Amino acid sequence: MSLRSPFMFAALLLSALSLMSLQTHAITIDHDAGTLTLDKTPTRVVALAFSFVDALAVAGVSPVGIADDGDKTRIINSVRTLIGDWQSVGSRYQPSLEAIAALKPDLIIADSGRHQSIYRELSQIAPTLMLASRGITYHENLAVLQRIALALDKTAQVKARLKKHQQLMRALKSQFNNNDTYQFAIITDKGMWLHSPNSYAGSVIKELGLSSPLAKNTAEAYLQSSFEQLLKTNPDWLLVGQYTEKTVLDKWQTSPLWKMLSVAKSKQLIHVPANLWSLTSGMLAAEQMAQALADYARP
Amino acid sequence: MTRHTQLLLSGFSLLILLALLSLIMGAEPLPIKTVLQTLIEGGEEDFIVNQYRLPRILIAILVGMGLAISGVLTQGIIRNPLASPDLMGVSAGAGLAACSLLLIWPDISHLWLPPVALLGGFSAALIIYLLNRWHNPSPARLALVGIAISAFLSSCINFLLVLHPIEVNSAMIWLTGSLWGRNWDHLWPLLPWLITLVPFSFYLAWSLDLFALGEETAGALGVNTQGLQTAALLSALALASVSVAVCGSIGFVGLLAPHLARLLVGSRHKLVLPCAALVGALLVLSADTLARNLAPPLELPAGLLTAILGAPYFLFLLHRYKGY
Amino acid sequence: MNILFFTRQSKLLKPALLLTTLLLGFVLSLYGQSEFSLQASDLWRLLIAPDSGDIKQQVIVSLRLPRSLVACLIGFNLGVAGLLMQGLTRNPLASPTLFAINSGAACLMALNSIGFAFFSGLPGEVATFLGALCGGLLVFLLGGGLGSQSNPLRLILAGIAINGLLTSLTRAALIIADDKAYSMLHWLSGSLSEVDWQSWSQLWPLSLAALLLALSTTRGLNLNALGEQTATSLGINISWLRIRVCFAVLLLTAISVTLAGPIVFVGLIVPHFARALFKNNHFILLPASGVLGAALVCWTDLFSRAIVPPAETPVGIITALIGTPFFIYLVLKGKL
Repeated sequence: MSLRSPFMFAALLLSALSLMSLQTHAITIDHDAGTLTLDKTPTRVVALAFSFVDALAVAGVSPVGIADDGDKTRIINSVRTLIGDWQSVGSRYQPSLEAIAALKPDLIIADSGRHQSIYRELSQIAPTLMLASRGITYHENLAVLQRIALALDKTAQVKARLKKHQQLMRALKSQFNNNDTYQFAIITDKGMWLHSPNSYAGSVIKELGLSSPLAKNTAEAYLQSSFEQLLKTNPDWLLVGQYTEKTVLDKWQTSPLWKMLSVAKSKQLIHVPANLWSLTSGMLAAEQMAQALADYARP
Repeated sequence: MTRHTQLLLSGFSLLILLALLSLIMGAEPLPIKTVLQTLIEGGEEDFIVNQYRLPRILIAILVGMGLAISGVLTQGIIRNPLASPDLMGVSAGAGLAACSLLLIWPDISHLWLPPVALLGGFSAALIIYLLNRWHNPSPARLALVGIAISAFLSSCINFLLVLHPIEVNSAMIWLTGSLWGRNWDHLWPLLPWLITLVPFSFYLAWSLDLFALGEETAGALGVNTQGLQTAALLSALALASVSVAVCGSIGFVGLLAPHLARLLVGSRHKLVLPCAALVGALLVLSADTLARNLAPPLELPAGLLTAILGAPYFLFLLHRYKGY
Repeated sequence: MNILFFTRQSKLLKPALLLTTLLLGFVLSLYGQSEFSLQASDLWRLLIAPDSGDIKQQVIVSLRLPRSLVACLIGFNLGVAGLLMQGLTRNPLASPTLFAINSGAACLMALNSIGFAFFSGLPGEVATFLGALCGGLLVFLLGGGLGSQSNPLRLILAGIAINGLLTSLTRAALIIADDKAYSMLHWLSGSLSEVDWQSWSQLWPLSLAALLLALSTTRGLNLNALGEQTATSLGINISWLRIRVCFAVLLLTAISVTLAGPIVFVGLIVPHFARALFKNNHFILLPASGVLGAALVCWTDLFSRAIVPPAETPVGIITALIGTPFFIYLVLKGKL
């Protein structure tokens, strides 16, 4: 058969066109390790950080495996109700590559801050997206959410949900009409760490238009604070998340200096769940945090 | 001789058995037929068997061998059965070098870790060795100088960690001695060192036996004592540094393997070296297998298990050793 | 004025200088490097016209004063402990770190923090103190402390083994509880930031008891320096001396590490300076090492707030960074 035959030509053209259409189904995403091309929409996803689980819940995809440090209660309720059950793949810092491989995933979302050393092996198991999770701010996380949505081919759904989210945040923002300073801190039995506007909790507070008691040019996300430094910072609202049962606050509250703090006089010291305010750093967590802040502010 | 050869052969078969066991067990236990099939021709479980467990097992064996032989050489030269490469500050120096890399340039490729750690371990050990030799060298002095320098290096590590708190966990994992995330990339840099230094230590075996009789006696019998000391110590340092560079500090192997070997085959270095190598490999491999399988999918660091297994036995040895 | 008068003057000069350094450090740490921009004038006002409503004065009284006092006393304890160790083992390189007291405290503190088994039921400080004592006792017993023959190498090696085990356990605990890891890390490097009046009330009784015990061993240590056989022939019961010295070292270091975390190198370096200034009589060396140690820790605590303000650098790191060059210098000079 000669190549110049019209049927051959038509056949070639058709196969070329069908090949091209296969290509257009493939999704290409930019991530922290370059570009990733997915040939088909992933259905079995393994998430190696809590903020990714939050994003998956928003996109309506239930992960088959999560690096949850062996503790299912680390996932906050608003996320848990949206996803099904999952297999634990170990701790976030040392996820078990075996357990991940055993789940036969078709997409792995890993933290570019923590999992750089195992990126190659993860790519051998399944296509891997390296995105930022640890130490990101509110807006950076929303950008990550959109990239995850793109990978899962759920851009429209997530966009709609995002719009609702932004409306909610604007509505809550308008409910605050004071100049009070808000500060979130993590406390343990060894000290207190203030989360500045460069941390997730701090950036959510900033997004709601609330002021921070820290200096404007604070570069770090987490500042260790002694009692003396807390007295100087002196926020109007202090929200604390506890990592241990006994904390330094118990000691500080017995000191005669305690009553000189604004929060001691106004009773605006509130204990909040640490896994919501510090561990999750996702859109759904932000909504819960904002709602909680609005509820506290209501007289 | 035949008895010893039998012993070595059974040790070797035990090692192979343990390796197979380690290939089977894990967060996802696989039947032995699948394992053997995958080893030969790949397949569905290729990642778990060939890319994850197999290189890890091989690294465990090689690191165990390296640390054990390093221990034999150190104990032979310092002529103290309780000396070990850990004492020489190798772990602390390698730890500081690796942590500096991890904390100051977190984006750098992790392939740089082994050579940098190697440099750090070597330098620290050299400093301690020189400080000891400067004035009144003695085993006690070596130990004390080693402790002081290691304490200083650990404080430097802590200082770096305090300045970069976000990176604490990756540094901690490395410092404790762990085979997590080690794969074929980490195996290849290890091989040339072992291939050259292990036969070299066997070459030194006869001289080391003579050296054990005392420095003057050995000299009178024709051993170049200065050369021997330098060669053996440098080899020991190199082996220990490269092992620490790959896995972090896995303690007590360099201390115990020579002892257990001596208990089994006597004190001739020609026999002690291979026996210690086998014992070291078995120790690290069992520690890593346990680490992976005690609480899956959570993984403990192998260094912790060698410490838990090793420390009590070391103390027992201390109790028995009355004369040194 | 004859020459004797001048000699007597110079004899008093050294202790006077030492005490002045300590006092200066103490006073400066009361108001130095504060978020509140405290000044000497605030201190002066506190002394002549105390006002419990003024926040600056309250900060000095409630936060700074106990911290400086505890810093001085801990420094005193560690200096004395180091002197005792070096006197007992007759080895200028010995230090309380050998006894795995710091690592024992760290290990039990870490296990308590992560809620491991029954350790979590104990209050944090009790667990830490227990850990310190257990670590020390283990090394003492396994290193042949109760034997009639003292064997320094055996003690050292026992210390290394126990240290290795406890450090591995501590690091594993840090890995498992990764969220709490860097809060523990600060403490593990030696930090005085959470010290208050309660700490002082826990510190001074035990320290006093331990220091009196230490004082009782000075005669024995003076004779021990001549060699074990000479000392025995002069009537010293070496085993009893060893037990008392180790017990004193244990108490002094354990209470210090419980309150402030591991602070290294003080016990190693301070006795050398004391000896350089005051020769070899342990009766004088004891308070001298104590005052030197107190001055060192006090000034270091002041610097800890000055390196990367407003964050505090752990004290233990600074003492290590200062201590090691001195250590290397002493080794090279042949003094060690």
